Amino acid sequence: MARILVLDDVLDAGILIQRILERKGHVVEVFHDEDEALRFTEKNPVDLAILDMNLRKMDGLSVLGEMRKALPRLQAIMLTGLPDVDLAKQAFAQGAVAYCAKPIDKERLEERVAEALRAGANLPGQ
Amino acid sequence: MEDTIILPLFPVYLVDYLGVSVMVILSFFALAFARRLTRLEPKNILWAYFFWFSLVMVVFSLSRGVGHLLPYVLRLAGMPQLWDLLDPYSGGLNTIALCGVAILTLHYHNTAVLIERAKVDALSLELANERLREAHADLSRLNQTLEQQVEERTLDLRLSEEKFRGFFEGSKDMIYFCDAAARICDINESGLRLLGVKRRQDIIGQPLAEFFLDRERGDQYRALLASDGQVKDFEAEFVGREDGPLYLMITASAITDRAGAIQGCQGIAKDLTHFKKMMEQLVHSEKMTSVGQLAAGVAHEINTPLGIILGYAQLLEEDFAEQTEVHETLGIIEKQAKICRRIVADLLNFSRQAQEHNKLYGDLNQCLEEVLAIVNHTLNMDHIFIHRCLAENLPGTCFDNERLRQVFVNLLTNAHHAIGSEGIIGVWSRWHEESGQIEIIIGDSGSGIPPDQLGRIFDPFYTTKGVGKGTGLGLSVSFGIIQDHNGRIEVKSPPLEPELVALDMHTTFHIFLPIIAEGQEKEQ
Repeated sequence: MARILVLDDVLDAGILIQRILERKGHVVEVFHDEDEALRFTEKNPVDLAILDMNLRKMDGLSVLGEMRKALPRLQAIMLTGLPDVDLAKQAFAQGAVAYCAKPIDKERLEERVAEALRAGANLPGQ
Repeated sequence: MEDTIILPLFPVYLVDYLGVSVMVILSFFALAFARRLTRLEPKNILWAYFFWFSLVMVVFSLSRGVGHLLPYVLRLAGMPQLWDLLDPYSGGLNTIALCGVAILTLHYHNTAVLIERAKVDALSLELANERLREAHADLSRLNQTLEQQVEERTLDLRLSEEKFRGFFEGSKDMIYFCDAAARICDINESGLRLLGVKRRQDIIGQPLAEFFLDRERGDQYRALLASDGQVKDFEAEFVGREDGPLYLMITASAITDRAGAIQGCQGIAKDLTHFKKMMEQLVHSEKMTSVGQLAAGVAHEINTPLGIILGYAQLLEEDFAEQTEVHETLGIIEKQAKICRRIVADLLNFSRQAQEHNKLYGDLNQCLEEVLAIVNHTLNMDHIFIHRCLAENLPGTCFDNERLRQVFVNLLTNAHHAIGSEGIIGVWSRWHEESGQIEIIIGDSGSGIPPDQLGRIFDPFYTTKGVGKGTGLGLSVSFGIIQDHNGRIEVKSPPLEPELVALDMHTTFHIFLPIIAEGQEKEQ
């Protein structure tokens, strides 16, 4: 069981991910506003963040950077509607585990989440 | 005798004697002078008259002298009766001499008149002659200037002729002349080259109308010439050389006689074939870009809701795994949503924004072989035979294997659809060293593409297949992918090469890809 945060400006998309992952036994919090999501991570521990690249106020990578301030060991999966090589490179440079094109398949999502959690578990000091 | 007053006679005699002598002497002098004058100017009639007059006067004076002196001499000699004998002769001689003078004078008068007339005539003749000479001089002067002028004009004419001949022959545009029956009577080198005629005599006398691809257009051209006397920027397609019709822009004017009847026409035709082709390509590429942008926008917007529909359907399927009917219904929703997702992916692909490009160095022949291996089975099922002719000297190049495979699959699928069942699909690869390009040809023995559809087949959403069979994006996507490789794709239906026609190919797609060396692909 892991604590997962989902941030997508389309709430329905976020809820879809929540439903899929809750069935796998994870605890999932869904946000469509980046400020609320950041406030949540300041006070609550989160293992994995699934972030949309294009948000209303900020971009996904900036949000990840902010969240890492409170949660340095946070794992991340980035979702995007417009795949871009340079942004993908940036995402990996910031420690994202995956960079996925939307719409993401149920099976693929489950796989990626499992990978991300394994990577987090292998981090030194865990 | 005594009664008679006797006067001394001596002075009388003396005067008589001296007077006669002087008269004789003077008459001789006069003769001598007259003679000298006639010697000086033998043709002068006045001098001749003077001479004859003086001569007669000599005779007269001698006769008078004899008549006056001889009586004294005879009386003194004591023979006065002899004078009586001679006296009548002397008188006759005098009379004859005077008559001579009269005749001479009369004759001279007539002669003088005649001469005067002759002189007048001669004078007028001389004047006429003078005028004639002047006229002749004028004429000769005129003649000389005329010759000079003719020479100058000839030179002008030659220069002008050379100038226009140079223009005519040197022009890169077709220049032609037609007679009253609209048959070509002269045409320049460029015209021969454009129309694909080798010798000028092969074209002289041929009706211009025969070169119009569309007869109606030819009729319009003639009608315009007849009504307006000219045509300006008249666009028409001409029957050209082997490589397709000529697209010409004609500017021509009618040649009319004084009555206004058309004697023929002269015209200049500009070859716009290349320009037209480029414009078409430009328009097409513009169209592709704008449609691509639109498609990408729409696809991107649809992507998210579509993903949500698909995801929830999958969730529900899990929930209703036990209830067969609901599960099946949800399965259909999932299936259709996935079809939508494929279309959206195609659209994004087409707009070339969706995927990162991954060009690697490799062998295009191998890529073709892989694709053929995949489709081979399906084709065999429909009794379609694959003729492959892959160049052995094909150089390696950088390409996106996944995406070029997509192009080949697209083209082969289209070929399959065009044939239906039983036919040949031809696959060629060629290396054009001179242009540094690889050419890949995929052709089929199918129904061929009607000319009116040829220009549209690369348009997005253009499809001749039934609803649900194709999205109309296959060729557009292929076009985009080839363009991404800096190449171009062309379609020929029917193909131009006899080699391809001989193999029963009715439609051929030609892909031209420039060689991209390893390490160079990043710059592309």
